[in-house]
Amino acid sequence: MKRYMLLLFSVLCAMQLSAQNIKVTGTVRASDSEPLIGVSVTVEGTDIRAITDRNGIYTIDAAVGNTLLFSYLGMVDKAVEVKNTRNIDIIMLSDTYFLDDVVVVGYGSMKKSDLTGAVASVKTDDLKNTKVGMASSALQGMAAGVQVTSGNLKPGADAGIIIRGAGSVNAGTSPLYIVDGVPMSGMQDLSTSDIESIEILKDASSAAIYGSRGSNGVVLVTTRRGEKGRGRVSFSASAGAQMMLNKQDMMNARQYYELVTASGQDYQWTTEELLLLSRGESTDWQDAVTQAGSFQNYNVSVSGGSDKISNYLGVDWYDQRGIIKNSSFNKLSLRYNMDSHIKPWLKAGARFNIVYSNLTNINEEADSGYGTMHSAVSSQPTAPIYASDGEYFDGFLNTKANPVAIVELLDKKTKKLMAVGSAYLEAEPLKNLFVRSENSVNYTSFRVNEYEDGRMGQHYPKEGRASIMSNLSTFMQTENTVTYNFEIEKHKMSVMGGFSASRNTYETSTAESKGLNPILKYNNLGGAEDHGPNSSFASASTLASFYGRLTYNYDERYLATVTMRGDGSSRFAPGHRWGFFPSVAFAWRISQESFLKDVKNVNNLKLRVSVGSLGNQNIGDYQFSALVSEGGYFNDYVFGGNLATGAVYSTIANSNLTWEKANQVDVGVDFGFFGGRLSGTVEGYWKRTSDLLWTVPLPYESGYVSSLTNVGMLDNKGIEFTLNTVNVNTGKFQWTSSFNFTWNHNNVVELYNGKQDVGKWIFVGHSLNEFYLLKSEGIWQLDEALEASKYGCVPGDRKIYDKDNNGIINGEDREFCGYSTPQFYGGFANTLSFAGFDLTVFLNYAGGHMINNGLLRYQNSYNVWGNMSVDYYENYWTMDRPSNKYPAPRIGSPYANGDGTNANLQKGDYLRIKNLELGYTLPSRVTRGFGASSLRIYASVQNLYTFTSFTGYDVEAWDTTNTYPGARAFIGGISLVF
Amino acid sequence: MKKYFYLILCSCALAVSSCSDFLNEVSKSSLTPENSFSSSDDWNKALSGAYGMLQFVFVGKQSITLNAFGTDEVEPFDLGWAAYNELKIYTFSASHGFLREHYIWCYDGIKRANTIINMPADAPVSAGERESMIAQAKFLRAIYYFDLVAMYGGVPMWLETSVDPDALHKPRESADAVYTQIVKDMSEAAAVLPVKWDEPGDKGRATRYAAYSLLGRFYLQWGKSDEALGALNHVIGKYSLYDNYADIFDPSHKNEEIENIFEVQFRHSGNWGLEGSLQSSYWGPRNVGGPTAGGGWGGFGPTQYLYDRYEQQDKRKQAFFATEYNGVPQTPPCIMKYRDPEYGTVIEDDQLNYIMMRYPDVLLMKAEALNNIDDKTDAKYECLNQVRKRAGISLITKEDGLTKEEFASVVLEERLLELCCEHHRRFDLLRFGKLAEQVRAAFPEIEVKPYHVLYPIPQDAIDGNDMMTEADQNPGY
Repeated sequence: MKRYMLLLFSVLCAMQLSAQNIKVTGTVRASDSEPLIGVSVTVEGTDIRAITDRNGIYTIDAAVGNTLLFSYLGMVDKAVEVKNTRNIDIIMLSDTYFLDDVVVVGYGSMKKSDLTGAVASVKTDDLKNTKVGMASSALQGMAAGVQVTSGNLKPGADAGIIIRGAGSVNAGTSPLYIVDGVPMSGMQDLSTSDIESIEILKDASSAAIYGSRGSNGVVLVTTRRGEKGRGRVSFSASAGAQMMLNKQDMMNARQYYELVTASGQDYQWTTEELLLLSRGESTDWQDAVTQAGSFQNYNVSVSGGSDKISNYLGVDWYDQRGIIKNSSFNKLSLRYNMDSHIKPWLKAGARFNIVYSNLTNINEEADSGYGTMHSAVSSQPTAPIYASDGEYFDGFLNTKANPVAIVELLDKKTKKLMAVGSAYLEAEPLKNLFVRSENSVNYTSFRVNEYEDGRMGQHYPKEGRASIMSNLSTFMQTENTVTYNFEIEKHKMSVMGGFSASRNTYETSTAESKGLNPILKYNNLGGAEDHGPNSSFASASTLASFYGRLTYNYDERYLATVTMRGDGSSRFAPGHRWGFFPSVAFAWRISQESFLKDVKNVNNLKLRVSVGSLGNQNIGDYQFSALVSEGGYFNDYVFGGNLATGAVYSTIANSNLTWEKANQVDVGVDFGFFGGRLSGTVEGYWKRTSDLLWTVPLPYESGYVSSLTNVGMLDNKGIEFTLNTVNVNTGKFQWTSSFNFTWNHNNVVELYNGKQDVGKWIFVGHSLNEFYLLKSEGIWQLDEALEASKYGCVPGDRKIYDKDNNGIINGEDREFCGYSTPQFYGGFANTLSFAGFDLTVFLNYAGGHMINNGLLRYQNSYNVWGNMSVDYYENYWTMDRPSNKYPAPRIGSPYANGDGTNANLQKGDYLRIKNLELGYTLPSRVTRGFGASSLRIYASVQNLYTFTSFTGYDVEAWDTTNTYPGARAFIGGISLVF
Repeated sequence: MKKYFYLILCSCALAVSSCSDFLNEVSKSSLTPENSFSSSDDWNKALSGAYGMLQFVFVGKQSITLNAFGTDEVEPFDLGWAAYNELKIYTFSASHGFLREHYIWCYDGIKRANTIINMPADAPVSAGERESMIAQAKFLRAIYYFDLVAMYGGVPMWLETSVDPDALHKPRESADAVYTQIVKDMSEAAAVLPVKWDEPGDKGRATRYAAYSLLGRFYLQWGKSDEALGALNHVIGKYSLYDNYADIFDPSHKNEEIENIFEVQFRHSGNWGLEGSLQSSYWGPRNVGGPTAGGGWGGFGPTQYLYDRYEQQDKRKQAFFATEYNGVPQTPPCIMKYRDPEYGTVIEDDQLNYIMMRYPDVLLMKAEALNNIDDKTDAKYECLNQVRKRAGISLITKEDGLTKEEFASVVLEERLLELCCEHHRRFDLLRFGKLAEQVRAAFPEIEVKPYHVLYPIPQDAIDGNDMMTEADQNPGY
């Protein structure tokens, strides 16, 4: 009571002193609008102090003109001046290099400060820049050294990830994905909302614990778990519309008619085409097969826990209608994670994830002439969609199909079910000794049902064709580890050892029939007239591994990690199955040294060096063995009109086949200055892959074309740069940026047997991905007729550079014409927030490469099979208009379509405004009113604009001919947390 | 707690001990040398596989052009495709993709034939069956080596199956050495093969007459006319000519063994890329809407030069060509040899066999061989006239007083008129030494140099074989 009196007295005194003391209150939140509990609030220069409660609310007495200081572990300190308002809500920004953050490193986790390897950490919040598409594409531009390309933009397609450059020729370049300890083929089945964090292990030291499969890097995904204490229910919904981008500018019917007539092509106009022309109409096939797309995503998660048990339950529904008609994707994901502390010495838990998805696909026939978008671009505009009898028009050139008939009639659905489960037990029999066993199963099956209606066009069997492809893959794994941690004075050590074994099986079968009931389609193959060909295939592989890791920390200043892993793989030849992958890393936390420890503005400075070896076994099964294949078009023959099955030695044995090895050196500096307002990493690496798993050409005379062999050497060198800044951090206004840049150079160091090139395809001293083509030098002009005739050309034909000047154009005249993969790439994110509003601008970019735009070969030369671009129409060579751009419409004009030349290469550099997002978080006093802890609404534009000179549908697309076009999306969303 | 700990230790220990078993996985969808070829059926499948390569070497998407492009009989129209243009105007280099593919396929066929020829002594096959199978395999091996030697000259020879990585590299042999092996194989095959296969299910297999006719072709190409005559005489009189030209190619007359002696077998399979042939889709009329409209892709076709060589009364002019199809004029005319009435509107999946050897070829070869050895009898005229008679054109007799050279020209011309677009022309022109001359006749602007009589050994083959270097490349490339 006395004390209270005293306090009251002093407050009164204070009031008297400043005369305008007020009671300030407000909520402190993190940038994800979660309330922060236990934030310390002080009035600068005084002892007045308050702490936020369980709702993040504080109340403090202060005078106008005072400054309130907010501080919280892992957050950037904040100072706010008290003005006339009594309510000051605060958003605190997390320190992007907060050193106590726990980072998952594979078979364990570490404090960020203890890391010795190159690990990029991506938190859930960072994934929100991608709202349409799968979790993998959300990583784009997020981390240095991680190149993500959304190569296929169809609904439900996975993006591709390459870490630190392509390190293999024939054994794949995609990283190893581990989700909660279970290897997966990719991230497309995950729900972004379930992801707690993604760690990307880039250097040899960090990836070495997954040694055998780590040479392309490792992507570790950790999903959410329930937290002790307050239960939490969150709900989010977003929906939007998508509009196709980069519609190709093709000729209309009149222009097409004119051009065909001028070309002298022996074109037989059908009655329907002439009718359409006479009416002055034109068919826009791109419009005819596309639509406004739409998408919606709903997510509910419930989590919570006690001292004994914690749970997380997540349900996610994603539904997308594509911008090509009759293409769609939906996915239902259900996740349950449980962790329990059964006894003081025993923990147990489980992870379950079930994902069911449905894809309605476009036509992606390998012969892309029939692919949906390619046929839409190239079909003649003089053709009507429907013939006069109401049926689909089918008078296309050279069996091309009616694009509208394809989108309306093709019935191609993929259903996929993935069920993953894992359970662990972790005992602590002695203090600091942990014994853990984790066992998991992944069961994935998918099925592709397809029906090609005979009315789709001449290219398809008139009587209709249905097929069912069914796939099943299973994976089982046991991981058993022992970890011991101990500390003696300034020495901290942790030793981990383990054993793992896994088995993969794969089965696929295809059944096919023709002449079916068009209503029953693939659901009654038995009712068909004609059956087959049917086929099936199965394979299996196993992997057994031993691994260990020793980490040592001296006085928080010197850190070391030694990792060793041995793997045995069934994919390699007996006697060559085991590979050993050691690595070692050192780190020096300079900022912990006495000379820097007290320097206020240097919060973190760490030098890291690592070196080690990683492996790759990403090849097919049984490749070391000689195989005798039976059946199939390549082996079979016909006697007396009947099929005669053939049996053929299809592959030669390689009894020495073994692991591909990548040795990597990595040097990096992590820094954090000014209380976390400026932090980042600069890093350089050199990865040398040797014993490449390479399908090396054999002497053809042996009857074998090639054999998978361990040869050659490949380098990837690169520089990575990451910078995170807090630019403005005032009371109401915050602005943060994060920028990353990666440069990677790929170089073939050595082939085999001293060769300098393989089939003029891969060259020593050049990148694996470099174009080697003839050089197009414009068009032969009238005054060059004589010279042109030496090459069998006439003015108006394409001029090709005759490198050896021997009067002959052939493969010997080829030159290097640029890289096919980006030399640099990165992302740049900016988030601004002001009084509850937040604005995000996220850009990603890549460049230094060329793209072979496959559409140009049809668009920009005279194409007897279909339509051409307006650009061609306006710029082709004629006597009166001696263009140097596109060849004359002469049938039989050599190299006209640019095949084998660099004519269709375009610069691939781009800068994309990938996300522009404006959000508003309701004031807490409003949300408290209905019991919610936060409510945010937002609007976003995805792919607002792309700066590039590439003219195809999408600068990132892998298939530049039958591309699924990119789209701009307009999205609105809400997220609510209770 | 302790129990659990022991359990883990035990499981670890167990796992280690059984590791090598755990890592053994056996191929599920292909056989391996350990479990294959364990019955006579299996060996028959291997033989079928050896025949199977005939489809690729002679009627592949690319190989179909190889004896026709760059001659006077066929003109590629799809010149936007550089590979076509290069073959036409003789600017191809050793990295031409078609040659590479052809080379690979020939040797794949040889590998398959060698599998049979090297059948181990304890193979579960009866002695008679074994003899017959090996004869068929030798027959096939000779065919594949002939295509190689006639296109590229002497090539490395593989006469055994081998998977020993150290024995994979072999040097180029002389053309004579290859021919010696070819005629040896073919003669041995001819001695064993039946004159006819009685079972309908065996139609399409090698016969003695097929072997002798091909042996005649090989000897002739090698420049050994006496030996060619010896072989061809086995066949003379055993076959006759159809009255109706269409019957030669019509699938309903397949394997009748009346005029056609050896046919590469195809059958409509319901999908392209299986056992159907692509001849109708590739040779079909141009600009009529593609294969499904009964036409072809239009990539190539006969030259105007070829069509103009026929006399007006020559029945073959009508039978083999069309100047119009479905109202679309065909200039130059299109070839009508590869028409399938039943499956001619299906893409690359027709029923047509490829006729590798037919009787008029034997007759004309005999006439050629007799002329080469200065035979003074009427025999060579008789052979020639059998072919001309059916065509309804004037007969040529001794009284016409042709010199040896003139007669040779007549035979070469007759081969063009009778066997055009049947995958023989380049070899014929080479044999008569008239490649450059005839190409110039059809395409005055195209210059064929002397070294063009051989195609270059594919660059990848030289690169892949340690026993071959650039110095082993054919001159001029």
